[in-house]
Amino acid sequence: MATEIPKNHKKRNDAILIAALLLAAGILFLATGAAKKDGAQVCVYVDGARAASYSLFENREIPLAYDGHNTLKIEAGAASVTDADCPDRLCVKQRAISKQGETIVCLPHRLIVKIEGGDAPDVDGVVR
Amino acid sequence: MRHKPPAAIAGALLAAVLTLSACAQPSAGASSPPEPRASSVDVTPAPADSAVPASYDDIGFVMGTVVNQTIYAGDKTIAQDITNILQDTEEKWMSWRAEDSDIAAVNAAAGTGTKTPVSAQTAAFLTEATRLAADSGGAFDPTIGKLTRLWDFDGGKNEVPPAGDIAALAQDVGYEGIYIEGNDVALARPTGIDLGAMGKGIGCDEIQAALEGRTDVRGALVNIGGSSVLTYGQKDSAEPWKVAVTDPRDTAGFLGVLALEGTNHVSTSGDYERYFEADGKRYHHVLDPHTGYPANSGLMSVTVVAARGAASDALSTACFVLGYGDAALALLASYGADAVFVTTDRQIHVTDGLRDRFTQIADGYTLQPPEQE
Repeated sequence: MATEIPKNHKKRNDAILIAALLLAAGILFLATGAAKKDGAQVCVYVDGARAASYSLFENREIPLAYDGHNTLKIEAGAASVTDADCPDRLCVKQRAISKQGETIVCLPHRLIVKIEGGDAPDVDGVVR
Repeated sequence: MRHKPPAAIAGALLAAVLTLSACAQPSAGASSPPEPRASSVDVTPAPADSAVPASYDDIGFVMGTVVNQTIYAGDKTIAQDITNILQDTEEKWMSWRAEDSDIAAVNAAAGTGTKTPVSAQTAAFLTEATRLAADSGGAFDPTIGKLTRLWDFDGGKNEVPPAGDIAALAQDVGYEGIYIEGNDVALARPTGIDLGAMGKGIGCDEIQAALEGRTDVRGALVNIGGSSVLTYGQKDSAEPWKVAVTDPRDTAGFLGVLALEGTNHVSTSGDYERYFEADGKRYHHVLDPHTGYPANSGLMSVTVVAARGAASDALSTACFVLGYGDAALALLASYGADAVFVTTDRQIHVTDGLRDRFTQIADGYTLQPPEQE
């Protein structure tokens, strides 16, 4: 009979369907992940001017050499300054940043690290 | 599909929160060389064309913390003025810890019956602090200085002090022991004054006073150390100021957003900013003046919106100690203030004045309907 599908074909079709669903889910996962990756940037300002920007979602350590040396570390979606040759080293003591608008400041080097973009709602300020 | 940040991010942030207390306090010791004037950095994004920007963003380091400003004004000189005002406030405040300061002198004479003359400014701050302490039934109390030092959350000691030491110090704590006559101050019991729970709020008050004297400033948002925010005037878009409240259990995220009109002071007290865990228990930095231990009132955070900064700062501490209930609600009402309470069982309670201004963002919390009278 034309309407009857052999049993082993049924199994095969199920396998194809499952594979297709998994593939679709995988593509969707990668696509949304990529969209998020494109969003948030770690921006470096020197004397108020934007000097560089990096993705928040690429783990790396970047030596910054402008008015002095600061080491910027980006790891697991958060950015921090791990080393610096400024006198107070307050930049190293500041918390890691990950949210849009958050900053790390090194005043002696007139350096600001700021998170821009990302999927956080647009707000004027955050209270914590 | 909801995107949760990876657990690793949450972990990193948690670590970051823990290190906040490690932020160095600028030295204000009498013997140290004079600190340079506070400076700040203009971080206004370059405008798309050559037009004059409508607002200026500035980040500075004052009062031992980071100060973020967004100013809607004709020029950016006001940002440096504000940094200088905070520097002056800091010198008044931070210097209190120096050996020759007003507060140190008052603390040194505590329990001796000796009156200590202080500046009119110091007397005014102490009067305001004592009034807030009395109105809150001692839930906020400036005489907890010795307890604060014993726990030493800022120093990152991370251990529970001996119960006997806590009990001994807690016994003497009490705003009733503060005597103020004109500019003379005395402490009846051997306590120590610590106005840390009000300092950033006072900084916000000083800024507001300065902004009100400037006709060229249309609006401003100033954030001192993350926990105290001043909204002033209006943005050019005339939209309300949007101030996000941090999710107390996912500090990378927002619990919700407050849409505020005009000038407001917003302060948050929470159990997630400075804390350590011992024996599976969380010990956070908001101490209950009555017990000497971290407040255990069933709250994870409370955010207060008030007309004055000092009040909003002290009220957030008081409400965190009192917990969500009639006492806290009556206290807020008496100051014309409103609040967003987050309880440890993940309920959000919003007082009437903020009900239409709060929008929940975070999942996992239940926004409660108004209390039935």
